[in-house]
Amino acid sequence: MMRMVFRTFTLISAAFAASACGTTSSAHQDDPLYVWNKGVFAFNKAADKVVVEPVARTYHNIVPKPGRDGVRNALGNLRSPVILGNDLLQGKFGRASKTLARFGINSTFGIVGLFDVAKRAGIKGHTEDMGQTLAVWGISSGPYVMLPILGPSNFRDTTGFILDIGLEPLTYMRFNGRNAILTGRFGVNGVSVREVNLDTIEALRNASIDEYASLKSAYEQLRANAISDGKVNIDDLPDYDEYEDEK
Amino acid sequence: MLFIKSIIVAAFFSLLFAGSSIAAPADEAFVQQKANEALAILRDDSLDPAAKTARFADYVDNVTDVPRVARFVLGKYARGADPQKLASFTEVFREYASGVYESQLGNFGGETLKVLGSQDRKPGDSVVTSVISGGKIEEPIKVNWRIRTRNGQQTVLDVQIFGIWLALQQRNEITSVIANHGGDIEAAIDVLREKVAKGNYGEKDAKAASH
Repeated sequence: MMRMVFRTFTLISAAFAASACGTTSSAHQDDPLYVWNKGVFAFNKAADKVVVEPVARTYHNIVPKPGRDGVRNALGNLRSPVILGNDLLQGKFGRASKTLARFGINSTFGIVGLFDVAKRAGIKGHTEDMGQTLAVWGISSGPYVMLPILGPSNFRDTTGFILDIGLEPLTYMRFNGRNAILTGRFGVNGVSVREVNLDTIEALRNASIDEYASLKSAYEQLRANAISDGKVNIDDLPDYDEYEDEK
Repeated sequence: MLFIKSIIVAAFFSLLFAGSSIAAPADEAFVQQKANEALAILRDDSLDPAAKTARFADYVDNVTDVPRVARFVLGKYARGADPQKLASFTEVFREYASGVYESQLGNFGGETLKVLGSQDRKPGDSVVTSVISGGKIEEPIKVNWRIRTRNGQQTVLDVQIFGIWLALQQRNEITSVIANHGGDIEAAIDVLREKVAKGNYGEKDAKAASH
């Protein structure tokens, strides 16, 4: 497993190192792929404006809220095996048992996951992915990278995104139409995620002083928060006196 | 014998608490009191929007150390900065920060805030964890407060809501603007002035626009 992680991480690093060769800006030392990232950010923003957001808004206007909630619940339920695998790989057995219980309850009483019955029974859901697992294992994030269509990421999370495919049961099933199901699910999930974040993304854009930096910062903070399961690690907080003039 | 026993007990407790942070009860009381004051301003329907904004700006001035936070958000550009530019930046940042906090907290009012606990980062620097619940919100929202104490005076340095520390977020954006303009603080002053003039800070406006 570790060898596979290392290989994937190395491949991704090499691919980006080649594509971003000579793009490091001295003004953005914490963002070595700045030029590449800014270009992809502009592309993603245009794609969002022309395709993704209009589709998400149409979906919001046509499908009533209970329907949208059902789709989101079902997609979340289908993700349970990946979450369970990562719960276990992180040694979080309590959370793993909750994921398993939720999957069992929602797949049956929740009619293939359309209704989140488990939440009403007091078993709240959570997310985990291989990017978070790698972080828990002590692997550093690597440079921030903006992926076409997929959006903000870093080397660790991109590696995790690929490795999560290995935890997905559909990967190992062989039947006609499997690829169409996988592609359709990816597309519906994208629209569903964009729809639920219509307000948040608009708020982020309205509030931001520098939209690119705002997204990068929000992504990094939210990922750190997800890795720590919402707990504040006080040692990771910056010092407020760091840039005081020396007296 | 008693002396040896004391050493053993002390060693036991030092082991027990090694690596764990100590709570800061005074800071917890401070957060509870100041959060209640903020919620009281936000739910005061006798104030018109302009009066509410002015009252909230006074409140932010009172509970946060604005010049210190302004220096923090300037990051490395604060060190050795021209005092006049620094003063101009602090002035416009005060208005901007107040607008952001009002916008972020503006949707609350009928809710209550309960302090859950705290961690001492180092002397005079703690994080207080609280939860906002009730009112219009479906799920309780966790809010963390970074508190600084100097000479017995407590101030709020940063607030984390929905997993994002606001001042840290502002620092990452403001330093990016300055970096894109050759390290000139003036660029950040101009951007913030424009933002304040438009009065567009996000949360409240986006919700109003989409419903």
